[in-house]
Amino acid sequence: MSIIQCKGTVFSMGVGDSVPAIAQVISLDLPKTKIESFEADTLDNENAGIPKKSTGRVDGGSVSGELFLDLAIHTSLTAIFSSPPAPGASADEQYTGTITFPGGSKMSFDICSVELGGTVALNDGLKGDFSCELDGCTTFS
Amino acid sequence: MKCSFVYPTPKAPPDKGAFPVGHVIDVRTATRFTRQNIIVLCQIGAAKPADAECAEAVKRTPAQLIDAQCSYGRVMKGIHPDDFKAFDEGQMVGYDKKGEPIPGPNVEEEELDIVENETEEEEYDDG
Repeated sequence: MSIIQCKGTVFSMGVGDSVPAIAQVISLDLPKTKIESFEADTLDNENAGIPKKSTGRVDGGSVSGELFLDLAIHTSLTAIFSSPPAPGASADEQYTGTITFPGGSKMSFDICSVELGGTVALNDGLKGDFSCELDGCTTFS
Repeated sequence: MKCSFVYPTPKAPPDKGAFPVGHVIDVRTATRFTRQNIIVLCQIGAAKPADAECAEAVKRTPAQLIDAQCSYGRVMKGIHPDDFKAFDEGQMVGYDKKGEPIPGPNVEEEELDIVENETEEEEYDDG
């Protein structure tokens, strides 16, 4: 049995030709990549089971997470808001992300949208939560 | 405006490898880097300003830039805050699949010291 521990996992995100790591990440929810399907049931179907078919399309899903927020060091996360990718953005303006696990296996993807929020609470550190919507398929390696 | 990488930084897409340490990006000749990209890379500590224009644009003091560069080394290895000291002292370089620290260059000396001490104790006991 091979169980990989989470400590040491790195989330990286960038625009242009480099993908630097994001600091102080506490947790990540990995993208749920899904093959799109539809119900292919008909009125004259004699079986109780609902037949489903694939459309042949893949929804990359989204990756989200929580971090201890410091706007001074999270500029690679906030930069997208000052220069959001426009429709038809060139490869130069494409945001990309990578999640690298201890041992070297990784998930790589393009990002089309980012959400960033946070929570200020007296009994906790300043925390931010983010979500990145994927553009296309995830590459597993 | 120029910057140079302080750490090997993954290229996009990641299967293209990484920029080596010391690789200089000049925004005038770069095809996939903008001024904003270079500023961000310097602010997070992955790169450092390589000319006066960049040093001014990043809006960080030299001390803040050095702090960012030190912390980025830990960030790119996913080092847990509890292990910052061990990482900075070279006792570990990262984590394996089991979450155990991967020994760094300074661990070997300590292990050697322990072995030597044990040997000395054994010799003392025998005597």
